[in-house]
Amino acid sequence: MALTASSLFPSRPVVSSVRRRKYWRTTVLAYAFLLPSIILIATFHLFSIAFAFYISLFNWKVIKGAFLGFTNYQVILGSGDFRAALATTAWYSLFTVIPSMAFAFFAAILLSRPIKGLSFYRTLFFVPYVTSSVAAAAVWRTLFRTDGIFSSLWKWIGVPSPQWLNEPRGIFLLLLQPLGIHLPHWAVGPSLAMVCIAIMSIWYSQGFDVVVFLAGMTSIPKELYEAARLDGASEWQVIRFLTWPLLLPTTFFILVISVIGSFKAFNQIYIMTNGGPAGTTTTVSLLVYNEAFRYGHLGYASALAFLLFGIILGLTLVQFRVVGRSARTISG
Amino acid sequence: MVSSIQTSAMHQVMVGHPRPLRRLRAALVVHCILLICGLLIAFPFIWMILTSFKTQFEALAYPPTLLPEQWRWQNYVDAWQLPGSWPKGFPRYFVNTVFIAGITCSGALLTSLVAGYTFAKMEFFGKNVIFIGLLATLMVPFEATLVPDFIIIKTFHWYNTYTAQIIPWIGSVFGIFLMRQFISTLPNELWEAAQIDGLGHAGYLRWIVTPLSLPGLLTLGLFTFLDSWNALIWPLIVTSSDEMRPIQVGLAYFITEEGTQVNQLMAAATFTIIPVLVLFLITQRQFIEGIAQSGLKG
Amino acid sequence: MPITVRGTKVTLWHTQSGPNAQLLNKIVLDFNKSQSSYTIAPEYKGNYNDLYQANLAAINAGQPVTLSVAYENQVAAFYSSGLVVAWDEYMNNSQIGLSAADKADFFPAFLELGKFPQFGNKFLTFPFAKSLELMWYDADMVKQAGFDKPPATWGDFKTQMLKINKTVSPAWEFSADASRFATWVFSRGGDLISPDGKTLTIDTPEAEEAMALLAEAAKAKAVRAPQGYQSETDFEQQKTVFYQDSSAARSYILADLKKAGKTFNWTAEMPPVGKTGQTPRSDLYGGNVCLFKTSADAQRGAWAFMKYFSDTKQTAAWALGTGYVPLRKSATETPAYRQFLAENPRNSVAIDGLKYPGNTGEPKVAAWQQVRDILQSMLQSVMAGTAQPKQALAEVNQKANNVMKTS
Repeated sequence: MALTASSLFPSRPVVSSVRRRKYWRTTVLAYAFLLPSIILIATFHLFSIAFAFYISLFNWKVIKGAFLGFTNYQVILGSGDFRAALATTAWYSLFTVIPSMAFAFFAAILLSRPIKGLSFYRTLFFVPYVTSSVAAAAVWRTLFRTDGIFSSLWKWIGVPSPQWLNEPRGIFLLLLQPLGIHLPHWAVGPSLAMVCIAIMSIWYSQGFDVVVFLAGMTSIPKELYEAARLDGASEWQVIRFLTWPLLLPTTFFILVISVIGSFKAFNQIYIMTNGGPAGTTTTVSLLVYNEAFRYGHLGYASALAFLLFGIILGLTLVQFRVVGRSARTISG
Repeated sequence: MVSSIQTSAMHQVMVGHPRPLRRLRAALVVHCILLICGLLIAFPFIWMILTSFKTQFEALAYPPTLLPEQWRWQNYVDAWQLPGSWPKGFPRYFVNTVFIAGITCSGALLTSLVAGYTFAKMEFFGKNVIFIGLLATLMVPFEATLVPDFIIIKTFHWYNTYTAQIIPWIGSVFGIFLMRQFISTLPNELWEAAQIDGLGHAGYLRWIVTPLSLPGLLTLGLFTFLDSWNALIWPLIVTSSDEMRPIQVGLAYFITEEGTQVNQLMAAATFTIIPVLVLFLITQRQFIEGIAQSGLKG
Repeated sequence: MPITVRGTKVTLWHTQSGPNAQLLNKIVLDFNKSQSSYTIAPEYKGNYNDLYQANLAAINAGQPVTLSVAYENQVAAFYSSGLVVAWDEYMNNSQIGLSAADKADFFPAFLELGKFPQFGNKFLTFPFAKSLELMWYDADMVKQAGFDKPPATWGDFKTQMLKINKTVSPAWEFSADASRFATWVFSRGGDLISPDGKTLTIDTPEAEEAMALLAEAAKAKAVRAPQGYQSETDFEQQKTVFYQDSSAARSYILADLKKAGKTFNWTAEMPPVGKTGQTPRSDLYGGNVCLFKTSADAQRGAWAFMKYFSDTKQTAAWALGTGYVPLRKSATETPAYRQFLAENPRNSVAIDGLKYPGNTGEPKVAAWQQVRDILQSMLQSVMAGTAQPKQALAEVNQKANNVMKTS
């Protein structure tokens, strides 16, 4: 069974002249297959990325100014705003990717059973992802508003309602303060406002995750399950030793795409808080947006974007290494 | 793996369906869990639909009402007629969006299938570098590339055209990655058998891989269509007239500078979602049939 | 908008949607019919941020449009880069410009607002969709609490607000935005920038007074700054008594209350002043249009349209239809406007307010957008009790002037 993550770092092909000729023939064919994609992606994405990098080397405010070299990068690395935004982004990623994937994995297991009303259930789970993120964020903003439905619910239970999207204080602080535990400044966690956005994002992205997991599960031969059950495997063992390893390429895909997505998340934050309250939901991508399209600092914004790019690339490579290795041991 | 399929089929013939009572109970539990989770998830969506029938006043009232005091269908009429997007409005936006999303989606499916196969099943020079290079393009925030992208569109004289909204999105790294992951799960024995039958890569891809990747293709088609359907900032930048604009621009009209018309926004959001929901139901039927069949078709 | 182009085509990028856009299109069509040298093509480009994005893209592709709506701080950066031209040579032109009588007819503030002191008082932004900040009152509640009239000074305001907060809480609402801060400072007689337009002055005594009041109100749980437009709806539903917003909110409040069939006595006034006897003063804000360097012909066409747009009849129609304020005094004397005022006497507040000479806009420097964000964060921190007003102001002042230096 080919587990893809491992094929990224394949062992070198054995060198023999016949094999080598075949290898190069395949290479030519492969490039022919890739040509349309590569031309399109190079023209519309690689070129603009290179151009953006060029912009990042200048004092580019509205229009091109003096050449600065890597000064923009230096300034950013020394800036407290950037570090704060990076921490916010990391919290956001941590609070969205794993919960959403875990939830979606188990939901997909239930949704892949041949039961009545499957279409109906799947639609319920997928509905968030169909909604445009702008409209969805607008709905969640009204749910979370002061005196909105959540506040009413809290009051109904008899607990004073928190300020939701208006609350700049850290979530751990809010949870532990009533118990009389005082946290140091660095341990207060993301603001409640950020957590609210994360909840919305989990809601939104689990729809995506469920669909991809389901498509992956559809590809798993049903006979394998039958065989496992007949061998007396428990439900849990089937999931652990059959579904989970066979879904690894799918899981890996979702993980990589979700981490990239979470580090670039913009729409829901822009709509729900626009970086507030008190800057506690300002992620790096929001910072990039503000610098570029509100302050007109295109050079600085591009440099920020490339630093973010570097971080995402690093994280992705780590995922390829780690998951790639574990994938090899499973397929081995 | 082939052997395990055979044994399981044999087992099934011999044993039949065991323990019907336990199955019933398990199914009941599954139904309960799915229903509760599903309704919780759908709640914001239901809320959106309910709000779309309220007056603006009631939509923002405290304490919030669940059901509208009066069902105002007028909101849908108002939203559909869309004041200000004179003289075209939503009918034109719908046609534009279906056209743009349809072509983008078909194009992206084709290029992604071929490229995804190449990365999944062919060993060639520079494979990993190119793959990571392509993947890297996903990691640059759109804010940084928006201005350069616009310059390209202007250079090609594609401003205010459908082309500008279609061509840049046909080459899809996301699609290539997704197809690569799906195709890589196909057993290598298939390729060996196909070679014996005299098929090359192109024939194998066309006749064996494509039908087997149907779940992946459907998923990708759905996501590409959705992305195209929900595009806002790019169309706003590269178009100038309502004749060329897609549906999300119409939706954006409701979020104005002075105040959001929540009820009309929700009405418009509701009727823009319905076509995509229908599309989802169609693809889902394919999935469910796929589950009902045995896993290895073809 | 389907347009048959006659003469030179002049594109206008704007942010107006809904009925406002319909009205704008109508005015444009009338203009296009009224002459044959120019054709104005209005294009909706999303909200102010989207529009600015589109402008940055167009500028860098070397093809800006001729006329675009923009904020003053954006235009300051455009001008430094040599992208826009001043309106002066058109406005003051003896043939196509404004006559002395025309100029006297404009509310004085609007002829001042477009001037940029750091660029030798060049007139760079022509007013387009203007409004001024007002304080809205629930007159019934104020009366119930035993006060016979709305507060004239911020001191009175504090007394009334804190007392009323015992029955209606929070008594004071607004959306936390730097424009609130500007109004608090302006109305107390302070300013946010030195007269030469070079140094920002955020930590003035007026600002300290304003932030002290805010902190005290927050501590008493008498003030709240919810997201989006909730403060407006809260005011309509009598969940709060004092509410600060643009004068353009009036048409929305009227429409909402009418739809809901709700009536109560509400009014809007110029914001309270610092000391008794001071002249009221508020923050003028909203969109302006700037003139990009394109072709001499297109630029002239752009001016011809702005002159038409700001003429008595059009500015009156625009103000009546949108809730923005008219640019000319004579607009308020037109039959249509008079009738409107007769039916909605409360609308005269914004118009009367415009006659005060002290009204002013926020600093017209490129750094201002960034400083606005810093100010907004500070307001939120002070209200959450996580920042000390005086210290926060000093910090913001330093940050703001650093931004000034690097912008």
